[in-house]
Amino acid sequence: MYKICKKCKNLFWRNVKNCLKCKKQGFGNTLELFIPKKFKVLGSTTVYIPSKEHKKVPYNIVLLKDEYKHTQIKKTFQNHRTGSIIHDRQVKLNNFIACSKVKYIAQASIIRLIWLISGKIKSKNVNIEIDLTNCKPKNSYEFEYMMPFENINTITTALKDLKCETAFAENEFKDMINIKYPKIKNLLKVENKGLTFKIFSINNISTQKQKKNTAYFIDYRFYKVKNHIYKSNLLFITSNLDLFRKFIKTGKVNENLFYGEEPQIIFEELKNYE
Amino acid sequence: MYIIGSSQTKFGNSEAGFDEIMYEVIEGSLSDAHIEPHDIEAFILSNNLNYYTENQSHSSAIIPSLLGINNATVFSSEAACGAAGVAFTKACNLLSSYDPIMIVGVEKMSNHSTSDMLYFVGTDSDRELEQREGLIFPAAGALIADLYMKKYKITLKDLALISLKNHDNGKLNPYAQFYGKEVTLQMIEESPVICSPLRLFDCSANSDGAVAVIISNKYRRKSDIKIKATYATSFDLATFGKENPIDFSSITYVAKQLFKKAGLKPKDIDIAEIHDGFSIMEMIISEYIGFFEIGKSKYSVRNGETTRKGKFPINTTGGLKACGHPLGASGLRQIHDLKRQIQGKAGANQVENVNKAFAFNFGSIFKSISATILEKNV
Repeated sequence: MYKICKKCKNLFWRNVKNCLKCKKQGFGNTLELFIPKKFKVLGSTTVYIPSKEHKKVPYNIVLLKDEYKHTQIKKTFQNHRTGSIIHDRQVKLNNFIACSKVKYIAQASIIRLIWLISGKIKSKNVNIEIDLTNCKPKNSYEFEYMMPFENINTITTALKDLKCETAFAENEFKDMINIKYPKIKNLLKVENKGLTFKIFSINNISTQKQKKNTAYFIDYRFYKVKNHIYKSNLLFITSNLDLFRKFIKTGKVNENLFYGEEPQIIFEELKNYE
Repeated sequence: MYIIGSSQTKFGNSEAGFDEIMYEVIEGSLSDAHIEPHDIEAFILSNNLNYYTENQSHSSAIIPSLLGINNATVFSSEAACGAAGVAFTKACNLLSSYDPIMIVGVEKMSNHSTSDMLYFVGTDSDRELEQREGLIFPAAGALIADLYMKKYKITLKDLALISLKNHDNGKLNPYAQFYGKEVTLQMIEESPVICSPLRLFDCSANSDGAVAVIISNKYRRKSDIKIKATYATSFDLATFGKENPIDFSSITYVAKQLFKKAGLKPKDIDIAEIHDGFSIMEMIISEYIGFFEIGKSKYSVRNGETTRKGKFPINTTGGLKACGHPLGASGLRQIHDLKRQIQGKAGANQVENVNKAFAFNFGSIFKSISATILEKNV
């Protein structure tokens, strides 16, 4: 997931607002967001030595080329032959969590997540509930850091395109949202019906070091979320590997790329993920 | 610009601390240049991992305390494995303001486990795109090797021959981590796979080590070595992303800028120090610089052309492979060894008639690149 400047074709993996070079030349915002869904395996390596963040070995790293001809790497415990094609999959199981790691551009992960569940949304009468209590910030600064307005806007826009009812769950930050983002208040309306998805944002670039040493992060990023996990289908957005692992161990998280359609295979693979 | 003095510690596992090995080379280079500490107008410290390995950042400010002086002008350079090369180029560019300048490259790596070091060194790669996907540096080298070997029909034995050649040289170099150690082709070929297809002996070793080099605009003595040209630049941090994952035009770009500055061509170079963090890198770099045609250096490796006594010797003192690779010091070690070669002081590693020598150092995978040409003063 990346941005490309339509003018100069430069590639940006990071969440830049503009292509500065082209903006300075008077071309305005020239960036276009790309979320590839089809990948060809160009090569792979099997890693046999453990490192602090990747203790379980051996694992494979595959080099992928997407439909827009850009390359990226992915860790997997599966074997993929060079030349084989991998598709990003929409979720089909009834009890699932769709997951997309944030790689700098949270907006892209949200759009991908909506796409991952969009098949189900179309087939059912769905209420989308955006739950912010889960990432309970202490103050407005934390609120914006964890769930920036740009991301809320991306979610609501994407869901409106799918003709979904969207709502903010009741939470103590409702007033804050109403004051800071009055537009959202008007956009959203609670109507409980059908299947409920909850959108949790653990959107940050936090490090593992904070896990053990900082009570604040333990409360809000590791254990608080856990209580919600079995309640409903979730959209889960994170770049936090520790949290990702925790859910994977429960067999509830699916990083959709790489996994087959059969649930038992999925969960077996997920257990091996680290 | 001239190199007027330099010094190196023995690379490998050292009981001495970070500050002690730093002190050793500062003292050694001052002696080599026949100058006093107060003669140095500025220092540049090259280091990559002290924040992690020693729990010490702002390490550059240690230098004044070692010299026993109240203050000194000290800068730092951090560019992963390429920190020392970048520091050297930076120093050359600063010579109009400070003269002479001492560049000190130091790294202490032996007091942590391999697992921890892989993580620490891994912080030099892109956090989200690479670190979180398990792309430790040997894996990045392996992916590149996988593609490059398939494209140009390079064999595992070709890589083993590069490693063997560098170990043959390192065995003779008293400053090398593998000094005096016999490494055979069989040992290399039977060593464990680290990240397929790369084996243990395709990878450079973590090492403690320090090097200091003093440069000046003023020619002082016959032993001073001329810095013909130096150049450094950086490219996008992520190893992969572009359409062609084995497009190494960044190397060619740096080489072209450097040779243009020097008014020379690759064929004018007598010997080269090439950053062989992984054996495949020596092959790729030497081709994209222009020493060999792309995809053809395997023939030179097989024919022994890059050995110490070959037509175009590469890594004559052991390279990163056999010298060891203390990240923040390796680029300066290359410069120091080339200086010794030009001066005719390389001992058992000496190559005859070295007039022009080339060094290539990079950080991450071909990201912060620096290259330098040294020349005998005639």
